[in-house]
Amino acid sequence: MPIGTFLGIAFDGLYFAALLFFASIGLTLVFGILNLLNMAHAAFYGFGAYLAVWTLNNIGDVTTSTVVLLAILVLAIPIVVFVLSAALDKSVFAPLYDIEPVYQLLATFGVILMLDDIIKFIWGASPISVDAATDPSRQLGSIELLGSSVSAYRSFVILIAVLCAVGLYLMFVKTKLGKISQAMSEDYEMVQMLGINVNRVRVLIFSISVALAALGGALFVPFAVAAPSVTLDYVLLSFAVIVIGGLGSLKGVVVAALLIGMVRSLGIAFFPAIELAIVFALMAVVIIFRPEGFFGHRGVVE
Amino acid sequence: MSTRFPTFQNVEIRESLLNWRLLAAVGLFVVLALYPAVTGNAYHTRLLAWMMCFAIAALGFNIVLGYTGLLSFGHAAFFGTGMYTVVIVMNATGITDLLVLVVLAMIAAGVVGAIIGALSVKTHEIYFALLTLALAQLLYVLAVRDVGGLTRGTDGIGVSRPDFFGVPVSELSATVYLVGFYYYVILTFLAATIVALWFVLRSPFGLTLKMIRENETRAEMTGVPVLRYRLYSMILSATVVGLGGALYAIVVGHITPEYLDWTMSGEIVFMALLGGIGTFLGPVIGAGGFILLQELALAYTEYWHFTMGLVLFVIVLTLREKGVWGGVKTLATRVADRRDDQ
Repeated sequence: MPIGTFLGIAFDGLYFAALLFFASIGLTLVFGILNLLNMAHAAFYGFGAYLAVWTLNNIGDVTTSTVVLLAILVLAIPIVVFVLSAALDKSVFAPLYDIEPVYQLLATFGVILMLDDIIKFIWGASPISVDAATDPSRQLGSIELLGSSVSAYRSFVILIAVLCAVGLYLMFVKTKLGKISQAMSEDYEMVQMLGINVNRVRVLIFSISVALAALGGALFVPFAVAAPSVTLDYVLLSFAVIVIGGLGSLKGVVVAALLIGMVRSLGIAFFPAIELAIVFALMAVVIIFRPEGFFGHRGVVE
Repeated sequence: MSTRFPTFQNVEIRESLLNWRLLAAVGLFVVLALYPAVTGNAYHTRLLAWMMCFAIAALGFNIVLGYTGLLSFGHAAFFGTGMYTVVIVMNATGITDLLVLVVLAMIAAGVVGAIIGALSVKTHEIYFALLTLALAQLLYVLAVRDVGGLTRGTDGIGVSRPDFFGVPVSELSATVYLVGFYYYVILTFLAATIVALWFVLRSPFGLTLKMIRENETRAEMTGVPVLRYRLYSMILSATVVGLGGALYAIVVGHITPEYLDWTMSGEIVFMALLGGIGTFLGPVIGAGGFILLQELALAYTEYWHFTMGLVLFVIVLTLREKGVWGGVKTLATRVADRRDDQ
């Protein structure tokens, strides 16, 4: 096989890993720090995707500048969703923190159903896609990398994912918010006892997590359509990622996203019929033989 | 498992045979049996048949959740296996007898239950939920991609009407077949399932399952082989759910992999929870309520997912394991107590 094809597969795997990272990082943080297993997390990935298509298609009359379009995807949409999810955390999700994980799973399944219809109510049931005029991936074209041509936009997505992973790591290690979060994952009540407003930290962590999922959804759409099935696919994929990586581990998400990204990319190239089956088989094998995943039962950044 | 469900009232079987509950149940079955004959409404009959198939499935599902205390998110695998077995066996071997097909479907679902159960009973709580989800989804993906050439992928397979003990009832028109014959088959199976499970779950076997749910360590200490009993519970549950699926396959007449998808598992969980997983008959009420709610919501709005999601959310936060049926029972007890006080 030519080396170019192999690099292409590896690059696709990296791009897919970046998207999986965005879809699952918040899920694992909310579980690890706040003890909430939020099945509806991926619905915000789907919501981000719809919001991005809608914004890009409406901004076309004002500007088609690539920088502005990328800023919308990377900054504007996550900020909007951040504010929105802070409100949701105070209302819909607030009563869920104190109930058993099994009931959290069931209640948030209800939230998925609701969000699903809210999306359909706003944007309709048929898939929508970004217009060619405001599609940043077309504007950026492709670049030469190690002798093969790759999409510049996909490289940009991978770069943003790396920056977010590093940023989160630094946040947990260097900042006060990060330290408090780590302490909360160890002993919630003790942190409260020390006079720290855990509710404020909770809202911040939840909103950051949800905003990252929306960012992933927004970055995803120039190469794909926004459809109701996006949410349902990513619910399962993001659960596969956090289970394989170990629930509550930042490092686990990075490693598992890379693993699944590569497995899917290789699967699509060599075994297209069972590419998704490999992902679920991998998830099952990890739970059976190593339920704590690669990096589970440790702190968020250990 | 730390998730606690309330203990079931341990009524003596003999006592409970002659109380109002039994009379009410028999009355309900008489009404259900007479309904199609009296009204002749094919749409309602179809809806009732649909509800009863899912009532069987939800009852079967609750053996694992309500009685053994394990949340499975993979029961679509058993429901779908039941459905696919009917049509695959019918097309491959030419067997057209309804009972043979149903029994084979139950066996097939039981085997899948044994495999998924054997792989997953060692895990706990959310890991059990996620593992059953992953294994069932594996089956779904294989069915969608038509690996093995059995399922014809997303196109699905049409189901023809089976015969009954050599009587060529399949020659009847679709409506007459359902209203005049098949409806009663489903009703009989539902009654049989309720009676059988009532006795099984009150037998030492059923009590052992509850013991495992309440306190796994204590069960282990008293010499109960916990893992083996969990596996039995999965196999029994899968077999009953497979029965529901097999019966439903003939009602819908067309099978697609959607019935193996995790959203289907979610619907079965939803039905059991709506009716009340801490009660014996709750899942039956839940299946009926779910389908009724869905039909009503669909009639007035196209956004029925929202309605259903809201109902699920509220049920989890308020009634929990009691569900609608448990809630009604609590209310009835409270009213009776107040009357006694006066």
